[in-house]
Amino acid sequence: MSVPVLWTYDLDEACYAARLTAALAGAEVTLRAVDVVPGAETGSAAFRALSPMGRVPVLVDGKVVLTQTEAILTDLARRGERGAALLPDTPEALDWLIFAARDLSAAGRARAAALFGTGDARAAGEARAALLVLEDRLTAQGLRGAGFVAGNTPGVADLALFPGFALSRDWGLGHEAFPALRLWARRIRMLPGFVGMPGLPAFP
Amino acid sequence: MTLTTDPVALNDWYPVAGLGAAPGRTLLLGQEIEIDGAAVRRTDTGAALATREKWGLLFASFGAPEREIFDMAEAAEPDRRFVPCGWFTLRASPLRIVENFLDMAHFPFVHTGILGDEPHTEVPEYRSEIRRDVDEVWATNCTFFQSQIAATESAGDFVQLSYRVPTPFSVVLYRVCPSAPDRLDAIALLMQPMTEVLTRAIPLMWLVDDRSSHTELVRFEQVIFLQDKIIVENQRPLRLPLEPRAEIPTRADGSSIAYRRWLKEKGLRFGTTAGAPLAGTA
Amino acid sequence: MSGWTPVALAADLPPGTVAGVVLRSEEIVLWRDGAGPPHAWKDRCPHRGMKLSFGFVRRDRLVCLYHGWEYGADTRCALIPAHPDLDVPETIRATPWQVAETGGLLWVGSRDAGQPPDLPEAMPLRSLFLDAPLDTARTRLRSGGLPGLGEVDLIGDGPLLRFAQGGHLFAVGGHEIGPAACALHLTSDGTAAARAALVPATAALRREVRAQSRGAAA
Ligand code: FES
Ligand SMILES: [Fe+2]
Repeated sequence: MSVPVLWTYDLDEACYAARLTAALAGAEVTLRAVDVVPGAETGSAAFRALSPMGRVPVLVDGKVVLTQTEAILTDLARRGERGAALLPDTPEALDWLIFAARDLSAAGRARAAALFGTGDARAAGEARAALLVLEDRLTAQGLRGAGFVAGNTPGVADLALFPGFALSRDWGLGHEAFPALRLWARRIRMLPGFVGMPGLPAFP
Repeated sequence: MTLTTDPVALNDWYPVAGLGAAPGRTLLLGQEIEIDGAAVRRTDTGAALATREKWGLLFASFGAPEREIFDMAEAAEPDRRFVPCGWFTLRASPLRIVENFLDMAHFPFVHTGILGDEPHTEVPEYRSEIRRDVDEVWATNCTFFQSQIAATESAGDFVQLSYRVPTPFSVVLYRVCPSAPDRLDAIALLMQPMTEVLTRAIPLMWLVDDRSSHTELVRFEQVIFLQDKIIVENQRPLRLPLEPRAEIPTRADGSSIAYRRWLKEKGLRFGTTAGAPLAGTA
Repeated sequence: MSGWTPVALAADLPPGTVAGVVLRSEEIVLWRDGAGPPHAWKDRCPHRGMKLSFGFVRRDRLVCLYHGWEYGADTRCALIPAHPDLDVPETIRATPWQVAETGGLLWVGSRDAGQPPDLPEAMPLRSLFLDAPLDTARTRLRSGGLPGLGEVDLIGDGPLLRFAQGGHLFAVGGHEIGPAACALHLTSDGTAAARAALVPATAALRREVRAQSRGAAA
């Protein structure tokens, strides 16, 4: 398989989910940094030709261009030697992957609003509501002895959900009221090959 | 939200927008202001603020600052690359942000693998002083073992640093330039204090580096800056305590001690625990 | 009310982990060293005020995230990495709360709190965080238990609220976070699977309490 190019911005949580998935799956990628802030490179004509919605991450392998985060994560899992176990191959795993894409996307908007002043006043409330639902899920999973959102091993859904919780303090939501998510996040951090991102405390 | 009454804070210059930014509203020292082209007005009274333009930024002041915006000699050197790194909002006191920028002891823990690494945690003795002639705080002869000292370098070495605090709300780092050891890279961090605990920070760099791409340079600075965000937003109290016994400094905190003493001499209250009472977390 | 308050489920703080909790607007860090006993301190590093709950446990010490100062179980700062050879003065300490582990819960107390309660072991269900005053949550729980489980049988009122409902036995400790926020720490009997099946009822309680306190505020 050829080595795909991952267009990424270090401060973006979806890009982080892609780098994390690549690292855990053992998928080789060539990183290409995009100057999103302040360069607004995602709005440039050249970038729009690649990604018409003007969004990072983008995964490019020859003629195949993926611009949807969840498709990128799944493809990276498929490419890595350790990635097969991460694939969302049960209905529940797919359900929670879509939860990350749809319901928890508010967390990304809340974070952008807090960091760059892009002003989305409702996003923080929506993101908190989604995280409470996720807390309920991981509470029940924990009692069942399943440490991850759709089973007892981590999957792409966990990795898609992880940044939304782990970076919530960037938009003012502490972790005090989320004990199940705190333990789940710790399990993810301890996975072999885990990589961090600025804004996550870097534990040795 | 109301304008601070602190005269020290009122009589200073602050960046409020990039030149040529779309018209909009923002906060400065607790007061909402409106920016339209080169004009800045209070939204409550309509009164115009004094303005200046420098380094691609629009500065404003509510008062009558005695001094102009400080100078950066490096900005006049034609072979330097000027790299503005964007505007970032932090839920933190601008003074905590300045102090964090002055601090080397956190490199191995907060910027692990970039600006420092265990076990190289020692902060060698350095000199810190209030320079009376220019009324600035300086820390000089600073050295620290860094594993990757700039975007261009991959091997570790001791970096040579100096720090300068030209105003209470801005701070500059000079770093012996890895690719031209006789020159200094300059990295300034300017602050737009929106409220006592909400700040927009603007990193600007004047670098001697003809190798790295612009994107790489911006990225290096932004990553480091975001790593510091989690710190300054989670210090307690959020505002900077100036009374000497409120926290426990060590020798490595010499620059912070000088900075706090200087702020206290100036009688600054905004952004300190002596400021107006805060709702919620003090 | 005694001087002791439950602030977390004991099971939610495994060995070697750190958690932040808020009790009546006071920030507290809970951590457990490798050997197991819990510690509760003011959530603030004496050096530059960083919240210790952002730190990590290493060699049975709590390490501050900011400059890596290491605090032993006795609260003493044992290492200042910026000055690795320094004999740290013994006055540099974290500020402790009293802490106890009983009834499946972690309790904190002020210095004059007296003896902690002595409770039978209990199995964790969950900590439920509510946007409502503690009194509202307690009253609601006392009258209806968990939504959808039928009649509530109150079994006395010690340091925990105990009741039987739907074939389960519950013991609930509550803690006030602020004037309009609280946490209920629920323990129960039964298998883990049976407790997992109760999670939706706890989520329903959270929604009910929120709707109720919204109504009260409107
Ligand atoms: S603030 Fe904790 S070690 Fe400096
Ligand atoms: Fe830093």
